[in-house]
Amino acid sequence: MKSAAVVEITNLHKTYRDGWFWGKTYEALKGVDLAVFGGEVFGLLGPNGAGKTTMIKILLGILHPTAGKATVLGQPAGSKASRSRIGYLPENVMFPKHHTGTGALYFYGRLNNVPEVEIRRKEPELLELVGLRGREKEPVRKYSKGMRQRLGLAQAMMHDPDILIMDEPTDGLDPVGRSQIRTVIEELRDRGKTIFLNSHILQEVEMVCDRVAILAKGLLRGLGTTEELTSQFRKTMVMKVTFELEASKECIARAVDESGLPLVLPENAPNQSSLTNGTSIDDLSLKQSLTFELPAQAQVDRLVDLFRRHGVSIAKIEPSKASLEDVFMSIVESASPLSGTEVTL
Amino acid sequence: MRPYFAVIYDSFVEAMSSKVLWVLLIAWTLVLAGVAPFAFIHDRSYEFSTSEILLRESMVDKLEAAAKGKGTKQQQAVVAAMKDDSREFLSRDKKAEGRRFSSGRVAELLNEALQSKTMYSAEIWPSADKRGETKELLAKPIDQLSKIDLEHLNRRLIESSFQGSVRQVNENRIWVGYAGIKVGNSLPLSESQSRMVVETIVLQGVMKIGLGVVAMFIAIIVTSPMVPDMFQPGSLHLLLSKPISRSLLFLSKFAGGCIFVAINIAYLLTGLYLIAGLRLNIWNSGLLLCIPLFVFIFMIFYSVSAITGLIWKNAIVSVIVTGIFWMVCFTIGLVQGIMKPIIDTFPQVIEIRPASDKLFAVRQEGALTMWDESSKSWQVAFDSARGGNLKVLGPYWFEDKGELYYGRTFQSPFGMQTDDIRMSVATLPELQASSQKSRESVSKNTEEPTESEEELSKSSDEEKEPKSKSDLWSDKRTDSAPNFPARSRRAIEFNNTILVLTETGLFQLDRSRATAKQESQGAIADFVKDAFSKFAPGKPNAFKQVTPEAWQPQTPMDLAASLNGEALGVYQHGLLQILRTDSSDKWTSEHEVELFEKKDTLALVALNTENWIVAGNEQVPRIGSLKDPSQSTKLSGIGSIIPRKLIASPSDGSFALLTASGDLWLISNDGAKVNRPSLKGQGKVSAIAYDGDGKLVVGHTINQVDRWDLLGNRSESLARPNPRIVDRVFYWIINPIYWLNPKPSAVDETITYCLQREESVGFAFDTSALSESRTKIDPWTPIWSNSIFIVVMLVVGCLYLHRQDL
Repeated sequence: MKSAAVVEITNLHKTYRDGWFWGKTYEALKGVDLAVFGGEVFGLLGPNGAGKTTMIKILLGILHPTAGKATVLGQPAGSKASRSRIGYLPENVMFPKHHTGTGALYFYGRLNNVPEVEIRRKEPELLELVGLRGREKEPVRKYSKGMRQRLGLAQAMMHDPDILIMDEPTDGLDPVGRSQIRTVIEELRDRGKTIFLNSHILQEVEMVCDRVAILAKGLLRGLGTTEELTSQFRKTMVMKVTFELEASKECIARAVDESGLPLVLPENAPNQSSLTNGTSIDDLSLKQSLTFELPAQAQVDRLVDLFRRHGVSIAKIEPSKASLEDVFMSIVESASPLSGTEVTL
Repeated sequence: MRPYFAVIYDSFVEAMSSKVLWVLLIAWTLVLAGVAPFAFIHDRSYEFSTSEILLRESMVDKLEAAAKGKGTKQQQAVVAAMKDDSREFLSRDKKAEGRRFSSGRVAELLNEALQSKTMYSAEIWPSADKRGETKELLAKPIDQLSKIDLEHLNRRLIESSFQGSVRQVNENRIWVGYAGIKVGNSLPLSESQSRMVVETIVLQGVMKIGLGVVAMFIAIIVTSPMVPDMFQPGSLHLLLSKPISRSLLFLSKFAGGCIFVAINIAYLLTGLYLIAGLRLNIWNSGLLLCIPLFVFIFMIFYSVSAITGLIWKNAIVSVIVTGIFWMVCFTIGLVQGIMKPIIDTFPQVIEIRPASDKLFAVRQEGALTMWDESSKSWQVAFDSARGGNLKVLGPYWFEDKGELYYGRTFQSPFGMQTDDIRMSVATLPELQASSQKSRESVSKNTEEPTESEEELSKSSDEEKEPKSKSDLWSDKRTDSAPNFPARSRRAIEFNNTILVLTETGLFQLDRSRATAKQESQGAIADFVKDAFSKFAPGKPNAFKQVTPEAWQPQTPMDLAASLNGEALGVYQHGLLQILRTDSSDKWTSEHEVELFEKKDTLALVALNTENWIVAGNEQVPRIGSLKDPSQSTKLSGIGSIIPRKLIASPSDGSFALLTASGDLWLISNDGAKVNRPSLKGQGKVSAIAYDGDGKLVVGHTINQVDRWDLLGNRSESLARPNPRIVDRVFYWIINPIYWLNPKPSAVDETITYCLQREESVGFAFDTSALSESRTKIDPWTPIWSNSIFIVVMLVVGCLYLHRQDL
């Protein structure tokens, strides 16, 4: 059963104005609708300039929306009530130079109205959790980028927020640190917290996120679980299917020619263009693994029929599995001005 | 509020962790350590200093005469006690050698005599062992006197030998000392006066320039990154994601910067307060009050710096913009500050002398002027001022010969003022003639004053012929008039002449010797002659001493004559003395009343035929009877005041008292009734005088003059000058810009108020200075106006931050 939406974004627009008399405008968000449910780890993906940071800043009240509505836990986004229930880890977090690790935790804890006793109780726990125990007395100006990220995560959790918004949380961390962050995220999810994750590391998102939204050019291009996105991707996108064939060159060539379907040359082939009707098959060996881009299952069936009719033995048929990266790249490329097409999931 | 306290506390922690703070604190410590060794050194000393030679020329003459075997026996004994080469020096003809004989050299010679064990002889000073301090000292043989007692004895002997020419001093004198070492000569001031100098000049100078300019500039540079630093990416977004208001975040950051500066200022001023208290015995709590005031001044600049930091997010831009703001404020303040005295203070009428149909007035700048009705302006008289704030005596008008006397501090061509007051005399025969006519017409209409005034006005109008400005003063001027006696403190018209009170006695002018006439030789020649005439020898001494030589009043002092001319009232050094004359024309003290415990209290005195009034500075005026002067009472209904002028009405003996705050009080002749009449310009009155008919002439609102018939409560406007172009520019352009512009430098007034605790600025050691214009201090207006500016800037900052996408 789906939890209630903790973040609701409706027809959100944001237009930046710049230049003399604000003459230049740039539309960063063009009417985004989105809902994030309680207890889920929600990933926000998109290329640079897609509007991800704009959306996060609107949720935190750092930016004012031009139109539309955003609520966090039922409160208008940016209100003090909503901010008091959000923990935020910014990208490249910076702390005032005069702070030590402990000083920073106390300062941000106080800013979140956390009682001193509570800060004192939670400080060692959080430092332990993010792996900074023993370094808390050092001034933050001596911290590495990774240590600052860890401290940033600790301060974001100090007031036990219901929603944790993380902007590139593993940026600058070593593999161990990344793993620790993932563990923290999973622990928080287990405790029923909602995590809003903005990351460029798609594998990481794929690993930890329950649902993902993909933004491109200010529009929401994809939303759902990784499986939902990839299955939708399969339905709508061109499939790559690899055939392992055993037959003479002529037989295979005749079947390929007759099919008229695009052939993807192997990595070591002289060129990367698809093999189409009329293409010489001299380059193909007798036992060959051929990959075709097939828009639908009917083409797969037809190709199998053709190979069999021309006496080609099919040793193996392997459809390639679509990853989140494939989905992301496909969406981003389709949204680019050069592609001319737009994919709506 | 916890989050905001957290921001403020964090700013405090940030300030404390700043190296700049510690560098500054060390710097302030060094400054305080450098200042701490200063102290007043009290010592018993009888050595002569330059300032104690009152009459240099007279002393030189007497010493040279004594060296040649002339003069009194005592003077010869003093010279005989000097070293051989000094005696030889004195006997030479220095005029022939073209050498000057300075006061410093005179002091050196007298100091030689101070060391002599052979100077005293009972034959030469027969009464020395019979009275006073010398009697006690001579109880021992001279050989057994300590060095200091010997100097003491010789000093008193020298003072008695050259009475009036050298200052009599107390044994306890003070020096400025540094680490226990005396710096320079002893101060010619009492300890309280020295403290006043430190409080009003030294401390204020340190505060206004050291703290108000230098430290403020450092503070702005140091704090300028605080707001821009808040906008560091990663830091600002983290702050803004917290449940705190942007406005309060900005205000908390602002408060943090102020705390940083407050720590510095508190450290420095507390240090200064302790040093001034422990070393100079000046426990001025105003210094501590200045801590929030300087933080306030900083807040004015920091509000500009902070809002600039918000908009441009750059510390350097903040400093530059704040610097430009400072320059703009400074320039506007400077222009206003320069023009204000020119418009408001210098032209202010401080003395009035109504003379029949003419009206003379002295301006604050020292210029004698006469009202010209045809041009509706005050025409500057002969001998007009070439500089500001000269000390003035007079004017004195004698109708019998149409003579106008006027004394003013001598000023050299290079702007140096001396303590000598030059007299100028004008004979104005046409005034004499016209005044006689008008007086005749007035006397015919005594029952209807308004009509007589109309007639007076009419008659003078009829007489008035078109005159050019120069015609007004086309008199037979007299430039060879004598100087007023040295150290003249007060002069009054008395029995058709002038009585002058000096530190060496009371002198009376012989008018016949003061008016040896000399034609003008042209403007340039007159200027050169004026400038150097002080050094010209051979001026006739027109003043005759009318008190015994032994009677040497001490400052502060004031003089007044009773209306019937039978008694003089002299206030001197906390005492009131009633002087009466005998057949020998010498005035001697008949009664003495001790008025103030604090002897250096400035005070004014006035007498009618039966009573005296003394108005002490910051005291309740006292009234007493001339018959039994020792009985006196405080006037009720007036309270403590700073008096500016006190005069008695020649018609009914009532008194008019003008205070430094510009208020005019009328006191009945017995002191029973005191009231503050409702007059035009009340509160802005700067000069008062009674005319021959007993009507009160009031100078107010800078340079306007009215004549009041107090019984009929009617007034007549005597002088209403047309505004000049410079006045219009000031009131219509400069002043509005100044009032609209924030005024950080105006807080200086509040600082002055805190340090002096006086409502007006004046710096005076003698009573004549009481009549000078005092700039009123308004401590609260700068606070309110600058507070409004700070609030506006902070509100704009908050709105900007609130609306801004970051």
